[in-house]
Amino acid sequence: MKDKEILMEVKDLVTRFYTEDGVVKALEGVSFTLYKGETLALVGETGCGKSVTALSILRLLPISGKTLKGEVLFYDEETKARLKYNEKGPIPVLTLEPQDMLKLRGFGMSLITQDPMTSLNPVYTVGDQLMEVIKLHKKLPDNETKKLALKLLEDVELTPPEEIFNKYPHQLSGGQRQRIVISISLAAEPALIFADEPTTALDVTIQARVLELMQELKEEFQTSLILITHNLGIVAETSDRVGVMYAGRVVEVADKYTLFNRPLHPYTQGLIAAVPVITEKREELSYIPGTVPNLIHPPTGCRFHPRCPYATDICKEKIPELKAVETDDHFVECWNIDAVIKDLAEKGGAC
Amino acid sequence: MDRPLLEVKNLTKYFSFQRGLFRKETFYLRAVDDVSFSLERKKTLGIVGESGCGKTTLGKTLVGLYKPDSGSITLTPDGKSIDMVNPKDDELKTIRKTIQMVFQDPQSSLNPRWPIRNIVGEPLEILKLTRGRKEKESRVIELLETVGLKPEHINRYPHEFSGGQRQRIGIARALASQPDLIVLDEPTSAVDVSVQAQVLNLLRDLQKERNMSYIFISHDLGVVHHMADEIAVQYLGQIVEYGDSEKVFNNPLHPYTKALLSALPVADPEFEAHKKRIILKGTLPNAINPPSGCRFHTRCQELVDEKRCKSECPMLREVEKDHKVACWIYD
Repeated sequence: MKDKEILMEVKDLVTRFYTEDGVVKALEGVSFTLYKGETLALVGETGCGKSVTALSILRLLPISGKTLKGEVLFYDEETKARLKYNEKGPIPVLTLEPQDMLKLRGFGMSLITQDPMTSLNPVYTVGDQLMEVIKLHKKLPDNETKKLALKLLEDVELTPPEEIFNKYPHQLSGGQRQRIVISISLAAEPALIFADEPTTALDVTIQARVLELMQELKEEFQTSLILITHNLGIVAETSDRVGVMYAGRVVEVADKYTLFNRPLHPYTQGLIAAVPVITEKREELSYIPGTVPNLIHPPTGCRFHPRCPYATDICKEKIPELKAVETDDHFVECWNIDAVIKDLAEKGGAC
Repeated sequence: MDRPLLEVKNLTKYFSFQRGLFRKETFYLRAVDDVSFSLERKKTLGIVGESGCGKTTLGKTLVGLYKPDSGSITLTPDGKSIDMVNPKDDELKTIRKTIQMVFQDPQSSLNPRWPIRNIVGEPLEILKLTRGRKEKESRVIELLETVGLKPEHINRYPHEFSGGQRQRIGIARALASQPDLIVLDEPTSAVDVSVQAQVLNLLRDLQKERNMSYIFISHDLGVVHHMADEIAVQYLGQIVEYGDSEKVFNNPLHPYTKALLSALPVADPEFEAHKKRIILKGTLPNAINPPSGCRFHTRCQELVDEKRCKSECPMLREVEKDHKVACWIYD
């Protein structure tokens, strides 16, 4: 990172879902910091709370979900000006008035969802959906709204834009649809975009171009990106820093080179070792024993302890805190971090 | 004895459907088009390709769930060859015993109203492999233990298991008849990374123990690289590159394989930083009216001889030992 200007701070986010089967403890104190201009990847397996984190920050949780605790501070001065938010200090996202929140989603942050088939309205044309967002946020005259919409379509390489403008979502391919969603998310030029598994529904060759395009647009529009994915390959390809999530906690945060070369949390280590990669042939894949816990009855203490090779008594009782280890931008939460580091030293540093 | 376990020659499977006013016009979707390969004992053939390239149709045709339109599939389980396209009545059972399949989605391939005892026991019953309830039950328990499940799971129903466990049940069912060949259709695409590794390890151990062959169908190149000895790359129903796994991965010859490998995000940031990415233009053409000539020509980044690529379809030819490619560049 060239200049480490903080864009957003997320502190101790606690989110619950109230379901018929019981209370799902989806987020249990999620904290991380996002710097201006960076791509932060949130990586983890199904149900670890990656998407819920994004939805909690955007305050778009379904009715059954509720954020009980925590703080989200948004530091962007430009967004403050555009929101006409006059209070001192950062924008407290979670306590913002609803009408301000509406503006913040758009000027401040936007969301690219996983499945473009369900996030686009099937009965409106692409143009209508794009213009709706522009009208809501920019309040331009009609002809300029359309001009901007066509420019956005061109930005995401949908050509000819005039033709795409009049099409319905079902007339487009998956890759094209995802580009529409990206163009909508860019419409109000937000400071931060959440991309929730943006390419999971796409084929590898299409995915490659969509990811590249997102990087280019990120530079052009000077936004920051929170990329939510389960694919470690995409993390290695596109992110600057990585937050690893497990069962509703961020367990490790580091820049991507550090994370892949010297993962310190036992879960991160297990996750990276479990992925088969084409650059090396392994006889046997190592794996993490057991399965992801049920979050209605999560394990006490550190939620990873039942699957952890380093687990000791304290792990069963208290949740460890995310602390800087080795360098000041490598954060790990683990009671037995010293044992992990000692083990790494014996193995010769590399994992 | 020298014949390979499975030999496939010029296999073709078209799906026909009617469209238009009064459904007058008949269209053909060429899901598998002129596919040939052979598979030796104890080996794994990986079939890779993007969605809609006909991987799953190929797999289902191989186990006999679809009847091919033309071509031959020859199975040689123990010295005696069986024509799988037109089997004699008494050969059908041998085929079923020899080839089994594990499906992509364990949720939809396990009967939700049946306990595991019935699901895993069904092949034993149909193929008359056990006598009496006691023997069947002990066999089922044995199979469950082989795939890492517990004997007490025998009376549970599919919904009581996690995704990884359900896939293990599917594997146990496939193992019941002690097959020589298992067709695995995206066996780990529905499970998480940490569980995927468990399932892949299990499959490899079972293969070694039981001298089985696998046909491993997947869109995940990393997983295929880990599992397969040989690889076939499929594009719009045709195999465009086929050969030894290491050779295909280290020295991809077909422009499509090159693009596919370069597009794959690898969990290694240093590798990613130095990688040259080939971005294909356009999207996958419709398999109902595939492009003329070489089917890849509409997206190809190295068209050698435009006229020829557009009009003539290249055949698979051996470019180096154990490495074939269908492309005019290597003519």
